[in-house]
Amino acid sequence: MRVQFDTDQNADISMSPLIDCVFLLLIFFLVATMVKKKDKDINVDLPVSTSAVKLKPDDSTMVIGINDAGEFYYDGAPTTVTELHQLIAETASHSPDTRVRIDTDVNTPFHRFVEVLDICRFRNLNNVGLRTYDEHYNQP
Amino acid sequence: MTNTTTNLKADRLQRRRSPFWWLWPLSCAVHVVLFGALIANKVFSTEMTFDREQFTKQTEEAEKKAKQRAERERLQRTNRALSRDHQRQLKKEVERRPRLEMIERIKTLERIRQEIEIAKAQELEHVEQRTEQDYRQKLLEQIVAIAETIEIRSLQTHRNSGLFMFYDQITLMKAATKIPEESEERRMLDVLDELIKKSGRRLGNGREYPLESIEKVNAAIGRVEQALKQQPPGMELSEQIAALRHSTRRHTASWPIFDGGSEAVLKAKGLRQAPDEREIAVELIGLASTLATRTKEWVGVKRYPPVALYEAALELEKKVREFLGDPPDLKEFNDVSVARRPPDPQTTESRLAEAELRKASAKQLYETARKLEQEIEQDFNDNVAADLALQNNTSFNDAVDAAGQRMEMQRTDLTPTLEQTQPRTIGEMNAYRDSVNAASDQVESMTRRGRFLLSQVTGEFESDSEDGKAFVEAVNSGSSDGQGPGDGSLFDSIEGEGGAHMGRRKVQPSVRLRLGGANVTANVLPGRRFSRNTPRTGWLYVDTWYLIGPWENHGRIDYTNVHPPETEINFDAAYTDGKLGMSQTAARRLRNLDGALRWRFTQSDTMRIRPRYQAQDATFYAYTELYFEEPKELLVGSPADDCVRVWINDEIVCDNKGLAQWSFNQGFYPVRFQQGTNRVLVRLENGPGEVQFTFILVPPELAAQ
Repeated sequence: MRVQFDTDQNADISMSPLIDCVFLLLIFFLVATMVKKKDKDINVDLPVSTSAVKLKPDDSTMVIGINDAGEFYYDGAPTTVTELHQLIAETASHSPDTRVRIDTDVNTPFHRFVEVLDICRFRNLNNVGLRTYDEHYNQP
Repeated sequence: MTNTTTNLKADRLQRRRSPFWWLWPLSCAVHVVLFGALIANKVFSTEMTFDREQFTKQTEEAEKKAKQRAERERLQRTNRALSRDHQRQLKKEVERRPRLEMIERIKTLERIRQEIEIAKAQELEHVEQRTEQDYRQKLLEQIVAIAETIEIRSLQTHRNSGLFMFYDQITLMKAATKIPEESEERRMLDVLDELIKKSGRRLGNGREYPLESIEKVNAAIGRVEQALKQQPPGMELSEQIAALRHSTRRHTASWPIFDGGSEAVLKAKGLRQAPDEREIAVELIGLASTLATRTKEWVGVKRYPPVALYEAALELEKKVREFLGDPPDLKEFNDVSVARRPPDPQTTESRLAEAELRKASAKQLYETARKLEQEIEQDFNDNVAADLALQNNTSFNDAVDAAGQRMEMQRTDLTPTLEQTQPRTIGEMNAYRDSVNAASDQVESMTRRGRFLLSQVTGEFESDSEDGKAFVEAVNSGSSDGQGPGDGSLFDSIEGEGGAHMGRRKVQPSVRLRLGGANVTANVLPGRRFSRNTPRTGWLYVDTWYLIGPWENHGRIDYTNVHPPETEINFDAAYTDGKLGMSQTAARRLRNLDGALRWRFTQSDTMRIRPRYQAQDATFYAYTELYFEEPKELLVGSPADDCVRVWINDEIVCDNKGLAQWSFNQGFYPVRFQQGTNRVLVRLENGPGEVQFTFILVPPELAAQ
């Protein structure tokens, strides 16, 4: 007797495992990965202070960095003196209450620090602070 | 069969799998892996701990590395070789000012030497011209002087002995406190005390000590001794009584000496009036001998040391014998040949001429100055010896011996350090610079000492040189008290070089103000932001600038020669057309100018803004910004050394030329400042000397007057 085999059966793809995987991947990366923010920090050896005040991070803070060679950084990016003048002037013109944070190295030439302070003061940016080493935040 | 086939068919149909059957196991595997990764991340992540010691150690290592790096760089700079042209140029720059200073001082030393030499010649002439008459007359004067000395010493000895007796009595009284108040001994001691106190007062008044008081004292002492015999007072009191008796004995023994002193004076004066009376001289010798014998026994006794009296008596005897003896050989007596030395070839008039000095090197100038100082010392010592010979009536050679250690100044000899023919590196150049400056300082010290020696000889202080006077007057006329002329202080370069093309500055200030410069200097405050309600009022100066320079100006003020800051202000720009040569900081550190220029931030705590690296015949620029809350017109001053051109918001507001020293009241001019930020650019031109400027704002209330 002849047996006819039906070879035309349709194959169904089961979507459940696929969806399962996708959701799982999504959840994993959501949980394990932090939201990437703009890194305004520069690689400097911060001074230590026991009298520093802890402040909450604020994205609107203008961060000016000065490394041990006296080079300026604005929000983590290298900048020139002329650009820094312009940037500070622009910031001061539209937001004079901007908080300014200055990150310096322990070996930063002091006159560079004074220069930045003077620029801020001249532009009437009076909310200026100096960042110090935080053992819970900074890595040795 | 059919059922079996059907069943088989059905089985086959059931057993045939989906082609995507593998998704399920894959999904499970992914679940396992991902969750496992999550768990592992949480479990095995290490907590970051802060180790302060490690941090401190890292910081110290970083500091150490930084220091080593700085030291390496310093050594590299020091050992950096210079080109030949550079060596010559730098050496010339380094030597210029010290050489000129040394030349001026050598001229001063030469003048001092001439004056001392004149004084010495006069004294030596007096010594050479002494006659036998002068010699004898001088001897007589000396005899009288010694006799008077003996009289004075006698009085002193007499007084001292009385005073010592007085002190002994006080000691005795202190010891006698153990004696009961109501006892006879106590009463006697009170009497004794009273007697000696009276005598002590008389001695203090310089009066003669009455002999009867001595007798009473002795009597009182005797009674006390007698009274205490029955009741021995103890060793201490007995010793005190014995010492008191000893004092009175000595005091009474001083009476003949006292008389002897007066007698010696009488005889000496008599001899002076009648020098041919040998008898008086012989009597005087006897008297002096007796005095010496009487005082000799006191010499060495601690409590009565009339050594000076003893020596005076011996001296008197000696002088009188000399008087009676033969006069010395005048040729030998007046011989001053040892003081007449040939001139040193290094310090002849021709060698000290201006032209020769200018050609001389630093080492030669230094050696010349040392020679001059030595000659001044020798002349001074000869002058002293001549004076001594005249006073003591001795020969010049004896006077030189009697003068003892001749005045010689021990100085560090800098000649070896100045022998550096050509420094080849920055380090050698710095060392050479230090040695040249030290030589200049030493020559200045020689000059001061020369003036002192001259003042000892002449009794007057030497005044400043004409050049120095002129310069001081020029400086004072432009002093910061604002009392000088409004056009500032003017002077020509002492060096006579560099600023030769710059003439006098004639500033015609638009506004003259009556100022108290010192008051302004004391009260002026820095400021760059100006508003109505600012707490800072009064005089304000701008303290914060960006400075750049120097550019070469070849000693000429030419504002048409434009440099990059006049076209663009770019704080990050680096220019390579700057001045070449040497610059000197305020701390007298030299820096090699290689033409590379960058803007440099400067903040000054005084009104006067000085570029860190000073340079002569150079152009500098200074830039700053001022903020005004509202438009304002103010009077602004920009005193400078030497002159400035000032732009405010690209408009020239001040423009002057010519040499001038910084002077507070060099003129003010009105400036209208706009609301907001105002740009200020200053072009500073410098000739010889240092460079500095000020930008100052006049208080509105003063400007309104």
